[in-house]
Amino acid sequence: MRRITTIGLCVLLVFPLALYAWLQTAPRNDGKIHLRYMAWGTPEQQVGELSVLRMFEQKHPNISIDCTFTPGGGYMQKLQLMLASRTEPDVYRFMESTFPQYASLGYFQQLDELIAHDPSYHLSDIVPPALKQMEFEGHLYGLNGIFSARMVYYNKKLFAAAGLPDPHDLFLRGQWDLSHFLAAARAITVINPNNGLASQVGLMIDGDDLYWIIWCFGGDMITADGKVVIDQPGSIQGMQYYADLLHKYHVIPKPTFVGTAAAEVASYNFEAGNVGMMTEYVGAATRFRDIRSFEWDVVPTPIGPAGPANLVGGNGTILSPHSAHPAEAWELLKFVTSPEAERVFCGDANRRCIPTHISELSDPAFLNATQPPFHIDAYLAAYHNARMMPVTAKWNNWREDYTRWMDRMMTEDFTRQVSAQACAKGMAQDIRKSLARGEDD
Amino acid sequence: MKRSDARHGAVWGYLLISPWLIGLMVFTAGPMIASLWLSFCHYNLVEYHFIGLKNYQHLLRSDPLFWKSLTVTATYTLISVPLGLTGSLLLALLLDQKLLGRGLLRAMFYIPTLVPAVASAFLWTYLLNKYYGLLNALLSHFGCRPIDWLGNTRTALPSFVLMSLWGIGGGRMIIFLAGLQEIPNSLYEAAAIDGASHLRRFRHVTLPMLTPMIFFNMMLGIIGAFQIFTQGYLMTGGGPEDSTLFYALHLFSVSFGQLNMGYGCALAWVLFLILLVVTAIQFATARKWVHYEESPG
Repeated sequence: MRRITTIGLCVLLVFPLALYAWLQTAPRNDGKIHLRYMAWGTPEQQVGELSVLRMFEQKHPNISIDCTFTPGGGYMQKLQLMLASRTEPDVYRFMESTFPQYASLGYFQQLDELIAHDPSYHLSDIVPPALKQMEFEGHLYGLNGIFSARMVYYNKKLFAAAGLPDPHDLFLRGQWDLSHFLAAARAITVINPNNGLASQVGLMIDGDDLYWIIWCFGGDMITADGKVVIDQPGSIQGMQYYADLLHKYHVIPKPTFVGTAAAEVASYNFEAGNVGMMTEYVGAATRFRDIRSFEWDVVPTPIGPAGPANLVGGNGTILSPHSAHPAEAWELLKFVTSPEAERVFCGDANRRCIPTHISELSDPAFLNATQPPFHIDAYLAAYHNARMMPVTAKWNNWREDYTRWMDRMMTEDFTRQVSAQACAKGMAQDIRKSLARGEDD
Repeated sequence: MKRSDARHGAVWGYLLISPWLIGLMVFTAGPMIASLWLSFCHYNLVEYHFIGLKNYQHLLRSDPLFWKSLTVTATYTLISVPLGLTGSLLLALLLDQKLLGRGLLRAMFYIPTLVPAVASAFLWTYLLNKYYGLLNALLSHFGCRPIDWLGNTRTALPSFVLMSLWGIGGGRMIIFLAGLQEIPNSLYEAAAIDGASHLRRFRHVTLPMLTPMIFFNMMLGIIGAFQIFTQGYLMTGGGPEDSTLFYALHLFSVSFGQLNMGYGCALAWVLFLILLVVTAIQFATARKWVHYEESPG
């Protein structure tokens, strides 16, 4: 009797679990093809993403999309495990900084053949930087979905209070340059003489801004053929300008480009109205639209002595080579990166990115603005002199060296602070070693 | 009891613990064995090939961050564990007194340990903020200028030590409290009769009787301190200038950042061996200073 009871209890315990597991994995028999899609985004961004997926489902009634949104901070960890276990979604977004690294490992479906045999798809309509970013060793491995540019968001109220001309007016006259940029930051910054802290700062930047600043001085970090040139004169001048913003002019809080989520806990906050200008990507507009206490808008990053240089880049959308429905997944990939989808992502309602299709750059859906940002010409200007970060398969090998030396240059501890020149030379030396070490892997 | 009955009982025993055993093999022992093998391989999530001891050679000879992260972690452990033990013991002594509202006080001191690590990391980022942090606000009343606690190489690691003290009212304190309540009153009475002061009673009665708990807490404290990760990952990312690059953080960066998972496995096994040696040393030296109560009879 006791034995029967024990067996019965074990079965009662195990059976429901087994049944649940089976139900989760059993294929759905509703006659539809089920595709899995994964992306990240804020709640506002997810609304746009979901509307695009629903549009696709309406056009393809035989296909159903199972969409997963993962917070940006944990997205790559989740995706890494899915890729390693070959359980990745059919179509998914992928972060720019790790695209070449994963492309080199063979995780992505090569798209050249698919495009060659698809007469409906035209690469000629895509802006060259967006296309180039998704190439690896001469082959296309993704389509750029959320393409963006580094912009300067500015607080119109603080500019007016400081008696400064509107940066957009300066941009239209071709006078929006690094000297006006610095002058504005200095005019807006208010420092409390009692404790030396700023109650209001003219500018907030982060590590990504070093790239366009260096380019403005004619320098670079790593060339297209992998040569480290951060220790060249133009690069050093750019680094000096960057360092002076903190150490000489005190117009920025110390950039928190180290660390992860906690680094975004900013002491100064553009939305709170105590920051005159903030450099951010296009997608920041979606959250700044909640600002009610002041007017704001965007302007391109300023021109330097060597001319303009706009930092652009996007997060690709990838097709899994293990999809059970490759033809349908290809249709989904094309659609979420199509002009139709870009009208949703880039249009007035979302402003999450800028179009990668040349045909969309002149579409009224993109150009017309009924809410900020109104300066859509700033977005278009980003494609002029557009340049991208030197993201390669060895990006993660040298980023630590870059961060370490930037820590030393930007530290406010004078006993440990290094000059821009020393930083550039030390960084170049360490990055060359890391890249050489990476070649041995 | 007949042999067949004993065997029968054993079969049922194993059958009923089989789910746990399967879980142990599949989710713990199996991955451990796999990681040991992978530590001798070059593994990048896609493929792996055997490279012998190259990962361990790289670790010892060519990776400056290995030594840096080990130094940072060891320094953190050497400071935070004794401070934590002392704090927990003092707190336990305080809460062992017959105070009004003692139960409420014990609960209040324990609550911080219930806060998830991620939430406490964000909380401390605010507390230690140079511009608006509570700590700098308090120090400003004493004329101190704002300190960039997490952004200065000299104060970043001490900030983590400070953070670790937030948990002194947790499990360690509970264990000390239980130990204090186990000490027979007769020992204190005997000491009092012999004229021992409070301090001497603490030194010669309380401390020796608490040595098993001190040993246990110290052992677990060292193991826990060596594995610190969440706070470093969220608050500083290992900076500034690797001054808070904890060992687990370096391991994570190598494995999931550079996708050099074979090397990450080697780092993990080296950590395991270090902790094994440290624990063995603790057990070996424990015979000299840990006094276990003899069982009667």
